[in-house]
Amino acid sequence: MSFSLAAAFIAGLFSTLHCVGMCGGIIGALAFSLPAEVRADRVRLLGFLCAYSTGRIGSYVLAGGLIGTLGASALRLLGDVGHNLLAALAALLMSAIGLYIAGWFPQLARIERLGQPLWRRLGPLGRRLLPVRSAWQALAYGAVWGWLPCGMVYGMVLWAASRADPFDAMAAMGAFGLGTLPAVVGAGILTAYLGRLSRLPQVRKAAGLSLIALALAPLLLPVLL
Amino acid sequence: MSGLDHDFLGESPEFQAVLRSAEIVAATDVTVLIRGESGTGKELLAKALHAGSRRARGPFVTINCAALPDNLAESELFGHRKGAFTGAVADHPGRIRAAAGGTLFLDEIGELSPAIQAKLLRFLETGECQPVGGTDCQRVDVRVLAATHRDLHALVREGRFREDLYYRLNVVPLELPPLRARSGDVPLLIDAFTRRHAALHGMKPPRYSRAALRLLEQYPWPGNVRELRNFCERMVILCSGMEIGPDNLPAEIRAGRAGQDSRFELPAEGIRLEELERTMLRQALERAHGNRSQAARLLGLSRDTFLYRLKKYAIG
Repeated sequence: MSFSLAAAFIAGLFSTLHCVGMCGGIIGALAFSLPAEVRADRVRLLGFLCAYSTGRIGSYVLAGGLIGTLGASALRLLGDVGHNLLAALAALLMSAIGLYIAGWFPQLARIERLGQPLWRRLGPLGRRLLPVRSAWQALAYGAVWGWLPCGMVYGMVLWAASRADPFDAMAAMGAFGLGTLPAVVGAGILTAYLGRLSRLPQVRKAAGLSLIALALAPLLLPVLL
Repeated sequence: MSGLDHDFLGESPEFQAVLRSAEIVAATDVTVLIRGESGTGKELLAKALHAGSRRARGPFVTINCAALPDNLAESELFGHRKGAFTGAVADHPGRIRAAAGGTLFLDEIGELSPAIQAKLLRFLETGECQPVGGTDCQRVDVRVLAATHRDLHALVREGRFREDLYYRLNVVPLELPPLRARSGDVPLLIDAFTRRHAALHGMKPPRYSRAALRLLEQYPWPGNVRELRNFCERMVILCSGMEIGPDNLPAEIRAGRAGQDSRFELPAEGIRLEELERTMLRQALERAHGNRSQAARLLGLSRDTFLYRLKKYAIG
């Protein structure tokens, strides 16, 4: 796994410290509103939770593809300086995400406003799929959920744009989505525990600082070594 | 859930995230535990969840658990049969059955007595309700929403709240942020409440100077939106058509401290000051999500003094 994919995966993993507080309601509601017979059967429940997440991560990958195409076009326009510029931008954005998780840069959440017009259209569409009765519905709902305005996801999408390659950006968003899986699929079991963990400033700071270190490493290592 | 857009004012990401979660949660039929400090709008959110649910046409019944006397609680919740006790002159359906087909909102759930906690748990597990003096159990179809300003998990640890009931209620947690954590919402709410109350009282709305607005934004608003709304109404009545400057603001807002601080009373058994200070420092850090400048403001300290005290107590 390349360095940037590892960084994206870890960002996804750490993002749950932030998102459980913000989106814990959604995760719980989607899991507990499933039919009783599904909730009683662990294998079926896991299948539904995976369907939600497959749809959600699919939307992240799609967003990565779209934004990566834009990034590639920008790189063509920028010429030779573009690579260095985009690498610096990537490090800056990932550091911003690290600062956001640590609680030092809450202003990053303001980029959620970019997605509000889209969510005003998608939100009602998603609510029509509730309550979810089949795995297909879960998959479709997950795909809608993937576009929910979220500072973390939108920050990652901007970061993916700096990859300047659609496939690279798609892989990065996929890795980010996979990083979010443990907390999202473990909803109901992990939510309460993660909720308490996310309230500990030391934990959030350690996670944010690790991410900043990962963000800056590709820039600093060639200089230091 | 169109009610949310109408009833709730605020554009901060922290607040919008809760509203988006609430829109999704409303469309399901799950039990929701609404947490939030006093005055953050827990009951309003519960009503909006009901209005956005498939039970919207059914009843919305609120039970204030803090105002439920122990000896009447069971009969109030589950109803009673005629003659079950002195004064039971007729059958009473109880609040739970009154909510059949709709939503039952248990406000201040943390105040419920242990005996009633056990009975409520039984109802939540079986969906059946037995009136006092009755032998028959009746199935009641209600969606349960609960709210508290307390840390229920801490109450569970202290043995004051049943752990099984906590997990039964905490299916979907929704946490309303306090006003001080809603970045940029104070001026927006002041504007909306001022216009609303001016129209209501048929008065000219006052204007706020920049300096006054800055002080209002810095004030921690311990009573949250309720306190801000009441403040705006007071200003509309007292300063209609005027420009409000810092001098027109209440002393606690000018001082940048919550009025509650000065009302703190030393308990008869005394306190351990060092322990209290350590706890306050930790709580301020937690509320400010680790932001030391913000935490210092919450305690009315300068950043340097705050850092000195953190060092003194080895709090990192």
